[in-house]
Amino acid sequence: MALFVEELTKDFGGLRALSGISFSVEPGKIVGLIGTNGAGKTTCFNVVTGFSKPTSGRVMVDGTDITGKPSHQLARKGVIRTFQQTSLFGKLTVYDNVRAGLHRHRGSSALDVLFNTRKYREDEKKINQQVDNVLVQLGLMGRSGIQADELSYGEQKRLAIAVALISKPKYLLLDEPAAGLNPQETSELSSSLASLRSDQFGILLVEHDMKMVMEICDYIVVLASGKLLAKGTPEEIRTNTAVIEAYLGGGKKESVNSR
Amino acid sequence: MKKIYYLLAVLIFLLFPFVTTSPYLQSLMILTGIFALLAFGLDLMFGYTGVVSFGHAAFFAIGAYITGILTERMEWSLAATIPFVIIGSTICGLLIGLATIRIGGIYFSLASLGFAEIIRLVALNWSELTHGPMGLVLNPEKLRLIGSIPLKGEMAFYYLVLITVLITIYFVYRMRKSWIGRALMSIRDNEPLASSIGISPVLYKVIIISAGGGIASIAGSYYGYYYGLITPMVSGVHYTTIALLAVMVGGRGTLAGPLLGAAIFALVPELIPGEFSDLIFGAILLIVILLSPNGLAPVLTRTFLSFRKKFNRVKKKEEGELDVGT
Repeated sequence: MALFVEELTKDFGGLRALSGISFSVEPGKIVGLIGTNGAGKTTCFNVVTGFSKPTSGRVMVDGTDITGKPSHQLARKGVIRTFQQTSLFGKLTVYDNVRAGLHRHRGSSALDVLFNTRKYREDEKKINQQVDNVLVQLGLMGRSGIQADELSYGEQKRLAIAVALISKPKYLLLDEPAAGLNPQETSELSSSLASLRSDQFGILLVEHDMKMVMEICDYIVVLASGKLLAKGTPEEIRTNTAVIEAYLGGGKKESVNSR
Repeated sequence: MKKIYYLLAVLIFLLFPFVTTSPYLQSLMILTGIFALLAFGLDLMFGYTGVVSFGHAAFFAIGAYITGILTERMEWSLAATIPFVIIGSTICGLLIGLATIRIGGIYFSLASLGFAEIIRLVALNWSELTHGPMGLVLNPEKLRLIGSIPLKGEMAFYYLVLITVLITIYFVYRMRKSWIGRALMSIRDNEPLASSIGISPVLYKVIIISAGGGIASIAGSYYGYYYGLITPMVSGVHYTTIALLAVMVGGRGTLAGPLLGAAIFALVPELIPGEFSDLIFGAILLIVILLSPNGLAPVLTRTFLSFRKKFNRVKKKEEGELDVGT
């Protein structure tokens, strides 16, 4: 039971953007995927989420091959992603944004809806309860009637996570959730994420913000120039000389190669 | 409280033929109802799902011709033709949907325009079936609702159309607050995100094109039956434009909008003679887009709510004064 990324390689023409990347995300764990600009984080994320097809290698979820499948099929397997640019249903209220996230878990058919059966009404009640819980969890309870467009940037980020979260992911893939947030908002987000940690699902976190990654991740995968540079616990990564060199730009060799 | 207003509106429409027995006014209401069905069908795609079809009249024409041919050739009653109208329009909806929805956006809109043109050309050239440009003429003496019950006169048609419109509004009302409505609107607002939480955009778009087309085809079926003349014109841009304008002016994605818009576009040509009506349509559209881009329905709702607030405040004040007096 895990999300396995196996030997992913991705070429763009003559450029090898990823070469032989392997790691896994297990339920209950937060795995960070980090690297300097151009290291291949986003490429890796896009391949794992099916937005682009790998040249070779595959992505396995609980024994099923999901390589290159469209998003809604991944979602059916419990793999839910968020987007780097804040991505919401802008014209819907905060409440309806989150309720839309429960689409996969609806308990009523179209006929139930059209004839307003008891099954449908009870299902809606259950849905509303779950939505309330998630809104409280992410500190958005007071904003439920507001159109998503009108939220502040930090709130939008948290709402995006709420939408992903309520769809009950087994594997939640977050694409730079802290991008564009100020330090205050980042630390709020960081503590929200840490509080979400549960045995129900694993999180893959692609992130630039080192402080956040070091704080909440159980395991970190470091990429550099499309290759796997290091894997390990935050403590191991912090003291890894190769990682320090890549981030602080120590070796001359590295900077020549990355061009 | 809100339910009372809905019931009141329904009651007014139910009693309308008794208030005015003028067949002319009743025929205007019938036309309004038919246009409203057409607009509601389009609003499912345009207002809720964000799929803009320029070929909505194709479904209008499919409904009109299936009913017309079955009535003229086989002397079937209207009710007997309706299942075939629905089947026919659903098949066409699935075909056009599956074939073109993946290309998305404006390309779908253009493809749908082409689809309507194809239907028009088929109707024009398949003369054995459709009598070409002369059109199908239905014998008014032989029109029947179901079995041997005749369908004659404005009043009968009025209630037929009214009931259909009410059923449509009820289903739309149920749909928009449910997971179906949320799925459609989520696709409209953000397709990649909708997909990422397990909502298949292609599936829902194809379904909604079929459903919207189905409602339009029933409108077409009534239209052909009521006027008794079906020409290739029913697949023309004219009816698509009416539906699009009705939705935009009335308010897309609202319950009252398509009905309101349909009323405007059914009544204005009667009030303003000849070519001027097109000019007025253009002016109405411009004014609405400039002053209230979301259409008239949201404005009216706001006005109504603020009016009620004021009214309640006045009432409370009066009661307060009375209390002081006693």
